[in-house]
Amino acid sequence: MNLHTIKILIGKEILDSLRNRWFYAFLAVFIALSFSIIYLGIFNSTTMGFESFNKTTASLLNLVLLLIPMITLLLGGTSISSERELGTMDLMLSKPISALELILGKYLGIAAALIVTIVVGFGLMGMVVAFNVSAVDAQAYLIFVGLTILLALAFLSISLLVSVLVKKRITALIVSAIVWVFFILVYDLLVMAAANLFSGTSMAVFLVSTILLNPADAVRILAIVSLGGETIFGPSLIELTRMITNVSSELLMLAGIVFWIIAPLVLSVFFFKRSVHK
Amino acid sequence: MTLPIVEISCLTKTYGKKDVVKNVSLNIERGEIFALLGHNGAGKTTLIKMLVGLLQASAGCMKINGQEVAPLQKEVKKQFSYMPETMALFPHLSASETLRFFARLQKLPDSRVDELLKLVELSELGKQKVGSFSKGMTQRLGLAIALLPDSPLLILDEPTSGLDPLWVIKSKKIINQLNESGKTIIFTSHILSEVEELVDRVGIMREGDLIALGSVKELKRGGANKVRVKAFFEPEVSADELKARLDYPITSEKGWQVVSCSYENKLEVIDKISSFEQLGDMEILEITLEDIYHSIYQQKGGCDHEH
Repeated sequence: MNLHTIKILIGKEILDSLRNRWFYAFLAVFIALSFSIIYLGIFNSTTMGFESFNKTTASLLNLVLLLIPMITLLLGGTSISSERELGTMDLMLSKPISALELILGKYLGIAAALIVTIVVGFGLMGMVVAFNVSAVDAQAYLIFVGLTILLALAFLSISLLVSVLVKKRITALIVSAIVWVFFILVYDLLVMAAANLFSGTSMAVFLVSTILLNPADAVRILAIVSLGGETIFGPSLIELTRMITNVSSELLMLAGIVFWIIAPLVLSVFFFKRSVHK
Repeated sequence: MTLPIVEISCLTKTYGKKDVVKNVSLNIERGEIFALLGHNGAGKTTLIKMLVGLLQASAGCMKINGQEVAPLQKEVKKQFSYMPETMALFPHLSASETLRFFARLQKLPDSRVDELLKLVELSELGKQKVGSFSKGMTQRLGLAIALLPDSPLLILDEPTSGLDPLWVIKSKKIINQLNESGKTIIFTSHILSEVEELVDRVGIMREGDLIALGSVKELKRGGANKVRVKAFFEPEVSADELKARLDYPITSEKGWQVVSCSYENKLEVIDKISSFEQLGDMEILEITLEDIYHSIYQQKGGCDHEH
């Protein structure tokens, strides 16, 4: 693996993103969300203070849990498939680049652009205001931004796998939409239906396993735990998570998300190699 | 004795049950300009794509500069530079950003960027986004990308496609200059007249087979007919009368009657044509690569209507 090649590929992806309309569209969405947090959570909560801020952050997290997977799936899902369709992939693959370098370069480049939109859109403005309110608010906001980034990284990894597996841009968009509907809308309903089959400890194990199998759920639970979930969601959900595992639930969820970042990337490299070898 | 720069041995590519490239063996010597010819679907681009590691061969092997070629092999890709048939570039990057990206990817100095923009006469458009380029400009930028590294071998798939006539001439000049500086050049083309001027050797492909291989002279020598006698009659002579008196196959081209024959029969044909009172004009031409191409294709059972 050549770090120089990866660095150049990252630079190109960032430059490409900065020239793309999606970058500014998403930035606008994040800034709008950021303003809503600040307005509803801080300036509009004279009596409730921090608690209200946290509640608003948690509600907006639900919105983020819908939006971020959609944005990253659309972006990453078309990244390789559209290059294949356009023909630029042939030119790239005729140069001395390995599959690992190409996939990592693309992933890190798009990830960097996404992180910039999230940090600029959510972070800067939010932090300035949050610091003016209290350090605890600032910390909660920071965790919120961090979780948003983790969510983006996990779904970007999944989207890259989609992009490697399909040949055409339009197929990538359709498959990405299906993946989004599955993880965000259908998955929890399936889990709830299946949960009827379990009881007691086996139910708890089942629930934690299903949470870990969906990066959006893992981020949601991590947010509940880290953003002072007792005050918002009640202690029972956190107790449930802690009860069924001996390790800290934060670490478990974090490990789950990291798995969702690495595993699809590894599979992307594998399937990309296979597609070129056909 | 130096090894050939390209060694292709029993190369086959199969899609499903169809052999797109069939058991092709071919060596290309250092310093050669080699053209691969054939109708659309003959297997030229598939062969080129296997050679540059974009496709895995179903059977056989290829070596460039002694190194075995396979997809995603980094080392062998340092031995050549490739220009694809359809030059697609990143629409959001400018011409100089595109060149700089490929230069840095191959650890080449940025100074090459200005040098090559100048060579393909795109210096003034260096800051313009590639998405707004015409096909010809994109093709010129593609040529510049291929020329970035100082590779001993250049593989160009239809390099003059989409270029205006002036740039067809200029790119032929560039190819010649590169060859004079010691580079080996492999290219595919549909324009046979431009190939004839440039190449040392040609390979003709039909339905995945390499049906002819050699220098233009060798291929001309191999054909039965080497001369074309063109005659213009005024008033027109009927085809039946011509056939009866000449006793040679005759074709018609824009009002001219054309007889292809060997050197030995040339005088006899000229005599016979001169005996017509209606003869207005007569031209004697050496057969071209185009004639050889058509004759080889017909001999091997190819169908002309594709062309």
